[in-house]
Parts: sequence; structure tokens; C-alpha cells
Amino acid sequence: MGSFIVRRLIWTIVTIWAILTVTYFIAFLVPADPARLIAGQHASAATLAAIRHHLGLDKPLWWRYLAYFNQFVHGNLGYDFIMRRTVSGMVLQAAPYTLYLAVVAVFFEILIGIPVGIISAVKRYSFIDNFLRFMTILGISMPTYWVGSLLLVLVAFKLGVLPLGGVSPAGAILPGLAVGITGSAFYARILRSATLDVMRMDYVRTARAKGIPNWGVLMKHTVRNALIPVVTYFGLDFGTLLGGLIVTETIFNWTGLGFLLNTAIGNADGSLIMGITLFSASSIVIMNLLVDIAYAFLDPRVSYS
Amino acid sequence: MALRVREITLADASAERNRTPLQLFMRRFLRNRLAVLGVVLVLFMVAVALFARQLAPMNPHISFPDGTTAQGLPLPPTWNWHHFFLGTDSSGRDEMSQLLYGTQVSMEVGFMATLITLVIGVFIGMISGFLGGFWDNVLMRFTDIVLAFPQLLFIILLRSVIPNPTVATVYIVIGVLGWAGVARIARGQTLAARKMEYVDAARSLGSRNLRIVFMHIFPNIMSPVIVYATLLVANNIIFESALSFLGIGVPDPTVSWGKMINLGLSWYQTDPWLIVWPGVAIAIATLGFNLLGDGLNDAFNPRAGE
Repeated sequence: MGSFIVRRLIWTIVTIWAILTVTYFIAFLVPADPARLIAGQHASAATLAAIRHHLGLDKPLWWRYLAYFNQFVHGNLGYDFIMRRTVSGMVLQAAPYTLYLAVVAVFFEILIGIPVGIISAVKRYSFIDNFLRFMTILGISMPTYWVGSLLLVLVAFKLGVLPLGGVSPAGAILPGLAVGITGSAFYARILRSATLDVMRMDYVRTARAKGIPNWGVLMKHTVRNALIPVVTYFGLDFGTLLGGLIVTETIFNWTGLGFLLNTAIGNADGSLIMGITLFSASSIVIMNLLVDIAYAFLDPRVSYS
Repeated sequence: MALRVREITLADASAERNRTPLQLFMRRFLRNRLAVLGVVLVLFMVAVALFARQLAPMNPHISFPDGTTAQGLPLPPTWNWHHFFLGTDSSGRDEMSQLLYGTQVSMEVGFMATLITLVIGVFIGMISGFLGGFWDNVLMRFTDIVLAFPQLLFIILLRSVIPNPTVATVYIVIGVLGWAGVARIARGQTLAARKMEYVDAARSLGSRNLRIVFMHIFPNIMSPVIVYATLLVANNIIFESALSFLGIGVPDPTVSWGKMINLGLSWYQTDPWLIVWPGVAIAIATLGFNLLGDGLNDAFNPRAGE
């Protein structure tokens, strides 16, 4: 168990290093010149050269890569010359909002996905099952930001029951629901097939033979075991979840990472886009690590080798 | 389930025996009504993309002077095919014609990005699975790293640093980052196929490794790859629309559904339909590919759905 965690941890660090390297060299494609951003359009060549020297921009690429790497290890994502603030400062300010929304979104994914999956499995091949299966495929087929836009128009604007946007507990419901509706479809499908698999198991038949009522068998013996692949998927799903949140936040003026990213895209702000990508990707990898470790504790059948 | 008992005659049995695997596959596929709906939707979308120019009642790029109200607001639907059937957008362009032209970019990016993903993924996966050992380990560790990258974020990063983008930029960016899943599937299939008798037979007849991989193993591992690719087309269509929605998708004046939703969002209080139409178009296109992919999966693996 200990060696499993150590190996998983080393692998996580290697992955984050790879993400850092790829991100750095993609961002290096931008021909942006921070010196000009600082000094303005009319600065003399000597001023520009002095600023470049001060920032280390006259150094070779490998030197600057190592400098960035060193900064990153110390939790510093560099200075943003367009916004005139540190990248880490802006990212850390926005991140809690995205995390908040992610929790709301996962809540809706589970709230919708799990009952739909169970009903679909119990009533398999019936009209209800076919209808729910069609609805889940439809859910997967709709872009999250479109579902968000529709909720904005229908629920917030036409019905007027929830705020149009802004950060507040009530304001989190619609963007969370948009991500939840599209994301729940995956949970429903996985749970349906897992429940069908478990229902064929011998111990389920034994429980039934003992005279336990159907409802008891379903809840105690079937669904509990069918939830294992759902937990696995929960870990894998973080990237998709974050992607959905990032496109949806802007619609509701929710000032998280997606909102910040949209501002950065609008300003063609390479260092900020890079910082957000690096931070989000690292969070996802670390989240996967935590889910894997938690999973190894929860399910004794997982092999640690 | 109720059992349907039928007398099996000798003629039935021999007819069953004479069916080719393709015929059996087609029969299973066509029995699935949702899968057939998927084929119809996909063919419909491809046809609209091919004939958008002929089908569109108006030029989607022109801002018509009579295309907005006196206050400069978008026009509501007129239900007159040749005169702003679904109304106009805030620039006075015909909404229906834009919807039809939007199909082109969706299909082009959907198919081309998937093709790029398939070529890279199948190549890496098959090499990895066939070589095994050290190289398999190296390639799969690399694949794991790529799989850990949040795809949409890296698409946004890569796309935002490329100056003067074209439609090709968008599908290349989407395509080059998506191959890890395909590589995983192709590797697993190749690993299993490598031990099959037909591979031994080909080798005993003097085939070289490359020939065995591409002439013998390749066609035998394609069914799960095709299923995955079909679902990928749907995913890539959504990626393209999301990029265009964020303003870093296909360049102007190319029409894209994502761009139309973004534009419509500024007018949701007066003209909510400007959001609805392009979204419905995206949903129909992706629904078609998702249903088709599911249907292919059920028809390739007859026992999977039971």
C-alpha cells in the first residue's frame, strides 16, 4: 500500500512536469514582447533592451525554461504585463469560485444521474428504459454552454426565479445545473450497465431466495456494488467537468477560472492563459491521485502492484 | 422476457448458416431503431453540408439593409423561405442560411479532427501492442501523460497562440490532442490479436512484421476503433462549437453554430430564438453520431447490451 502511494505520487509529479513543459513550449510560440507592453509603443530601442535584459528575455530558451520551472516549483506563475498583476494572484483568487461551482455541478450530476441509471436498469427494455436511454444520449449530445444559455433565458429571464448571473449561492444553481444535466448522462449510463452486471451475480439471487424484498435487494446488494465503477468514473471525469465549467461560467458572470480565461482570451494574454491551463491541469492530476488513493483504501480488491 | 418459440425448419437453418458476418451485422444493426435514426441524422447532416450553397435561400454573409428593424434589432421569423425564414441576427444576416452553412464547418472539423486522431492513435497503439516489452512501456507511459491533459484547456491554449488561424488550424489543434484514447484501444486490441492463429499463419507464410501489422491485424481490430471514432466525431463537433463560442474558433467570415450562439446571447431578452436554433442544430448533429456509435457498438458486440 505504501509503495503504491509512493509510485502513484512519483507518477503524478512526472505528469505535472510534462504538462509544465508542453505548456511552456506551446506558449513560447507567441511572438508577444512583454518589454513593449511595459515600456509602451514609443519606447527607445535602448529602453526595450534594458527591460529585456532585466526580465532575462535575452537569455537562451533553455535558461528561461529552467527559470520558469524554478518559479513554478515555488508557486509563482510569473507576472502578467497586460493585467499588471501576478498570474498566481489572479488564478488563486478565481479558483475557489470554480471549485464552489464544481461541487454544485457534481451534486446535480449525482442527483440526476444515479436515479436515472437505477430506474433504467430495473425497468430494462421497457418504455421507460428506452425513453431514459434516449434522454441520456440527448444529454451527452448537447453542448454544456448551450444548456446554460437556455436555462438563462427560460429560468432566469422568462420565469425570473433565479438570478441572471453574478456570484451568490442562488446564482450557482443554473450554471451548476447546466453542467449537471450534460454530465449526469455519463453517470446514468455507467450505473445502468453496472447495475445490470451486478443483478446477474449469484449473491443477488441468494438474497432474493432468502426472501428479502426486491427493494431491499436492490438498495443493499445491487446498487451499493454497482456504485464502484461510478466512483472510478468520478475521478476520470474531472477534466470534462472543468472544461464544462470553464465555458459555462462566462454566461452567468461567475468570476471563476473560466471567466478569467475568457478575459485572457479576449486580451490575447498568453501568460495568463498558460497560467490557468497549468494550474487547472495540475489540479486535475492531483485530484486523480487523491481519488486513486481513496479508492485503494475503499476497495480491497484493487491491486497495488 | 417472454420467449418466442418458433419452429425452426431445415431451410431456416441453412439460410442462417449461409449468412455472411456482414449480413448478420447489418441485420442486428437495422433491428435497432435508434441506430437507424442515427444513420438518417448523420446522412442528413452530411447532405446539408455538401449542398448548403444550393439549399440556402439567401447569402449568409450579407448584412441586408432590410434585415434589421428601424431600431437595429434582429427580425423575428417570417416563415417565408426566401425572405428571412427564421429571422435575422443583429447584423441583418439571414438566420436560416447561416444555420445551413454552419453544417459545413461542423462536419469538416468533426471528420478531419477525428481522422487525424485516428491516424496518430492507431499507429501508436498498434506499434505499442505489437512490439510489446520496453517500447510498449515507453509508448503507454507517454499515452498516459497525454490522457491526463485536460483536452479542452490545451485546445484553447494551443489555438490561442496560433496567429492567422484557418479552419484547418482548428481541426488540427482538436485532432492532435485527442489520440491517447484511440491509442489505448488499438494497443489492447493488437495485444490480443497478436496471439491469434492467423498471425502465426501469416508469419509461417513469410510475412514481415510491418505487413502483418497493417495487412492482417489492422482490419481485425477496427470495430472498437470505429465505434470510438464515431463518438469522437460528436465530441469534436462540440469542441469546435465551444471554441467558436469563446471567440477562438474558425475565423470570420466562416459561419459556425458556436459563433451564432455567442452572438445570440447578447440579444436573449428580445430574440431568444437566436440561441435556440444553432443549439438545436448542434444537438441534432451530435445526436446522430452518438446514436450511430451506440448502434455500431451493439451490433459489433451482440451480447454487450443484454
